[in-house]
Amino acid sequence: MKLLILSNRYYFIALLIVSIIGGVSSYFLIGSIINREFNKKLYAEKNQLIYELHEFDELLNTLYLNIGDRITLQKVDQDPKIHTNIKDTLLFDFYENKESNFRKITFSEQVKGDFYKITISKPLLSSEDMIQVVTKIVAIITLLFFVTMLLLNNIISKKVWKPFYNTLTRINFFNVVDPKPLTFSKTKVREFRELNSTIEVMINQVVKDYKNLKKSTENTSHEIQTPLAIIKNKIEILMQDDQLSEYHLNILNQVHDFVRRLSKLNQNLSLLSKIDNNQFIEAIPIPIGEYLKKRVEDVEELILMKNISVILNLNENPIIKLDETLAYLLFNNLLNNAIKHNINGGKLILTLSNTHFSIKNTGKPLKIFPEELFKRFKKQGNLPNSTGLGLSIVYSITSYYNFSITYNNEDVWHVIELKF
Amino acid sequence: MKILIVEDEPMLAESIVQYLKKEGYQCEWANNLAYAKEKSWDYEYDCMVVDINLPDGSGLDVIEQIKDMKSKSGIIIVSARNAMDDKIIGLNLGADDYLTKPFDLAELNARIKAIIRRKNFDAQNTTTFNEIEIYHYKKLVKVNDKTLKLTKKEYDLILYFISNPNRVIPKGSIAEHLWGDEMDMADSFDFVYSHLKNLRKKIKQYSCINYIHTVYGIGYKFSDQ
Repeated sequence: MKLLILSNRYYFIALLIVSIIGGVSSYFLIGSIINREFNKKLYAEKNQLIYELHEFDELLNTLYLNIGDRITLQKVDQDPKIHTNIKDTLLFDFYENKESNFRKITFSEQVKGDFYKITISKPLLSSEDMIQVVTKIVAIITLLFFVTMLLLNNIISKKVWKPFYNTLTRINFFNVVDPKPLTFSKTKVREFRELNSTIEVMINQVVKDYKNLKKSTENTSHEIQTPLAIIKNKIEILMQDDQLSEYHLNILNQVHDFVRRLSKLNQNLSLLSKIDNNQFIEAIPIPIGEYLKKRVEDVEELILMKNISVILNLNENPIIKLDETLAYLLFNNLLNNAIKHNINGGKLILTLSNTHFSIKNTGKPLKIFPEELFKRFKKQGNLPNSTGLGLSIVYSITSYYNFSITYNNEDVWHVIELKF
Repeated sequence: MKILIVEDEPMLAESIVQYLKKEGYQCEWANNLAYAKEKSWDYEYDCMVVDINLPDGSGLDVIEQIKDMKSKSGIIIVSARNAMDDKIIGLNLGADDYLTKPFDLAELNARIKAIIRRKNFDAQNTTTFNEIEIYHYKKLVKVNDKTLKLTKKEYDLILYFISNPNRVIPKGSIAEHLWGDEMDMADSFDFVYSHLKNLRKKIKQYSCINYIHTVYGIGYKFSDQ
């Protein structure tokens, strides 16, 4: 969620609550004020009427001239002793031609010796009208609030957070393999200045660590090769000694084999870290179909020895840009894997289309979990000449080029599929 | 035949010198770049084995110097790095071959011999071991003047053996020579065995001596004893 949307959401919720509370309370408040004023007016009218009745003789005959309010005068024989009261009532409104709400004040008065029961009725502003008015007012105010807040929020966010977004963009473009010096835009805000300098320090440290690690991995792997060469060569010289018994020679040979294995392991690990560190960047277009044919020719001998029948379904010949070394490792490792784990007289099916490559071979059931197949040092059984890194290298290469790789096992068939 | 070993690691140089001396080569050793430059300036070597990583610089400098001198000496680069770049730069400078550490001494020996053969090239160039004769130019093997019909692998194999006569050679070294280090198959030793069996059979057609001896537990030895 964007920062702006989040803050807008809070503003929206807060404004909504405030407008509801404001709307409801202003409805009641305005209602009660109007009510009080209305009653005051009715009392005032009562006093005015009494005064006028006493002062003007003609008034009793021309009462209806007082337009708007309804006044009734009822002559009664004796003092009705009516306590002045106010009541809401429904009356027919001649102007609007329908029944509407009126408020009526009832009282009695003695005018020129006669007793009168008097009522004054005043049309009430209907409550619906009031709700409408109040709602409208609240709505307009709220709307104004919303618009102002959103505009303000947007402008503020854009202005205030600009250095933050700048920093974010720069971090996004940062690549530890190919680090370019980070130049953050200058800002007056202290927090952002601190953020930038903290990030700068962290990134410098990361770059330094990465370089050190890379260097030490490379150095270690190279430095190991020389002592290995010495061990290997010393054994070879020792092997030439006629005095040695078969028993001694046997042990020497085992050591010799393990030196080879150790060196191979070392080479593969350094290869893996090279791939992971994106050190293969020279891609050339490779026609995969022809390339596969060549790789199969390379291992023809192995195929013959194991009496494996190979089927090549090269339907299409996609041209893909790959580093030459990586392409070789990718297809060679897949092929070797499919041959190594194949059974005598088994089958090997290679299928290639523009988007997919699959390698399908017969073999013994897998003893490890399929999802562990591409992990380092996961081996089927204990094959002495296998480093357990072949498929890890394949996996690293595929993820380097963003290919997806899947493994499936149906009965005797093992299928590895690549999606370019 | 004079050979210069340029290698800063004394133990490694010692093994190489020891192995090559048995082959009848005259071996000299330089343990740094300056000394190597001096030596190669003063003497003409048939072959030089040069380690790239030296304490006082890159072995590639020696190669450059030798090429500037228009020397005919063959050059094998030895490096701990299995990097394409080094290989390409080295070969472009005029090196003849490239070996990655750790290597087999038998392999180094075979490569040195191949380079020296190429340097002293003539069409009649042959290597003889008793009644076995190898015609390098035609890639032909004759036993008692009769031509053997060999596959490419069998030819490689007999050449490898004849380059390292009377030596115990482990199966692993043979497998690596024939298939390179890409071959990490459990059954590679079976392949070595089956190639050897065929080669033995073919030699036996025209000769009564069994040259390829099995050394139990290790590998094989090419010898007439």
